[in-house]
Amino acid sequence: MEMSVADSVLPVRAGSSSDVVLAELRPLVVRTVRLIVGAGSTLAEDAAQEALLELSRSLPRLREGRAAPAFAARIAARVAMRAVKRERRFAAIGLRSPDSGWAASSVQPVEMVELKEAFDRLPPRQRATAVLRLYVGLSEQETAAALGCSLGTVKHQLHDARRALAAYLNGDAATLEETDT
Amino acid sequence: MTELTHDHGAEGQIRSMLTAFAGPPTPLPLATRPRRRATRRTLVLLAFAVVALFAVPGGLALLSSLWETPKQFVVDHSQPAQARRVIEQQLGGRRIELRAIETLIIAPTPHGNVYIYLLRFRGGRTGYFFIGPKHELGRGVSGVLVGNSANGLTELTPPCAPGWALQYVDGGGGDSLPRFRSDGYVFGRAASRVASIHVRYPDGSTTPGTVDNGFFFTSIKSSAANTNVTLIANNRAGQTVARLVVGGYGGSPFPTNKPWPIFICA
Repeated sequence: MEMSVADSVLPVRAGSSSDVVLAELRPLVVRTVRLIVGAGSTLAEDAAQEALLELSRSLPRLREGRAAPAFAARIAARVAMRAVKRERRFAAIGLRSPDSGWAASSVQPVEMVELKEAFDRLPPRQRATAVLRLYVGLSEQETAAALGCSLGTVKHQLHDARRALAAYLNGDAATLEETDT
Repeated sequence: MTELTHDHGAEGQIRSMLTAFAGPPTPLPLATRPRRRATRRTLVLLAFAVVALFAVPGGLALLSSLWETPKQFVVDHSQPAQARRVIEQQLGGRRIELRAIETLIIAPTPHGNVYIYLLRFRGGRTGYFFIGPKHELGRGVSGVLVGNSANGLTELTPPCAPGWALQYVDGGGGDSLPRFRSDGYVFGRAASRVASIHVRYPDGSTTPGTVDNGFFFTSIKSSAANTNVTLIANNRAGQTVARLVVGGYGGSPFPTNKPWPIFICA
C-alpha cells in the first residue's frame, strides 16, 4: 500500500504548539491548494497562503491530532475552490492571474505533462475530489466531508474525472469542458 | 499519445502526476511573482462603473464609439444583423485584412436608423460602410463596403483649410425616376465646433441630420432629388458656422455640368 501525504504528517503530537502543527501541515495544505487551483499560477500561491492563514486561525478548534490532515485538507479544498471561483469572476472581466514562474523542478516525461494539462482542464470540483482522494489520501467519507457532498458524489466525481482524462488523452478534448460550478 | 487505463493503474498514474507537480512545500515568496490583486473596493467601484455605463445614455454613446475586432463585432448582438453579416462575409473571404470596426454614427431617419462604421485595415488603411433601412434610403447604401487603399476614408478626406466646419465624404440616393425613388444622403466629417446639422430645402422646410464622433450624416427627402439643398451646420450656441450646397440626390449641386471638387470643405 502506497503511503499517502496525509499519512506522512501523522500523527500530530498531542500538546504540540500551533507553530509546530502548522509547520507539519503546511506542505499538505500548500500542495493541495496548488494542485486544485492549478500549479504554476500566482493565484495558486496566493490561495495557498490564504489557506495557511485560515488554518492558523482555525487550529484552536482542532481537538484530535489524528484528524489534523483531514481538517487541514478540508480548509485547503475550501479555500482553493473559493479561489477558482474568484478567478472565474476576474476572467469574466478580462483579468487573469499571471504565471508564477514555477515549473516542476525536474524534467517530466511527456505523458506526465499531457496528463497534467488534461487534469488542469477538469472541472474544479473533480480536481478537488481527485486531489483529496489520490494525493492527500483521504477516504471517500473524509473527502465527502471535506467537500460538503455525499459519498456517491465523490465516487461519481472520481469516475467522471478518470473517464474525462482518458478521453482527453485519446484526443477528445470536448469531454473536458468545465460543467460544474 | 498518452493512455490512461480504466483501473487502479489509472489512479496510480494520476497520483504520480499529482506528486510530480505538487511543487515546493511552501508558497512561493512574493518577490518572485508579480502581484495582481484587486481589492474589494476596486471591485465595488468597477461594478458601479459598469452599472453607470449602461444606466446613463452618455455611457452608451461612449460604448458605441469603442473599437471592436471583427470577431467581437460578429457576435455583438447590439449591432444590426445585416452589418454583422457584411463583416462576417469579409472575414470568410479574407480578401482584405480587417482589423477593427468602430460605430461612427447611428443616425435616425424617417425610415429607420442608418449605421455608419469606420473600418481599420492592416497597414493603417481605413474605410467605412453604411447599413441603412433596406430599399428606403439610397438604394446603394445598404451594405456598401469601402475598404481598399484607393477609397479608404483617410485618402478620401485630406485635411481641409483652417476654419473648416464640414467636409463632404460621400453622398447618394435620390434617384429621379419614380420607381427607383429613394431619399438621398450626405455623409462627411464635422469639425468639433459643429454641434448640429440640418438640411434646408428650396421651400424653406428643414430636416435634421446627425453629428457624432466628428462625422455627420443627413438624409435628403426624395422629393428634392432634382433640386439643390443646403446643409447648414450650427455650433452649440445655435449660430451657423457653415453652409454646403449639394444636389438633392446627395451629389454635386445643379447644374451638374460644372466640375465639383472631389474634396469639398465648407
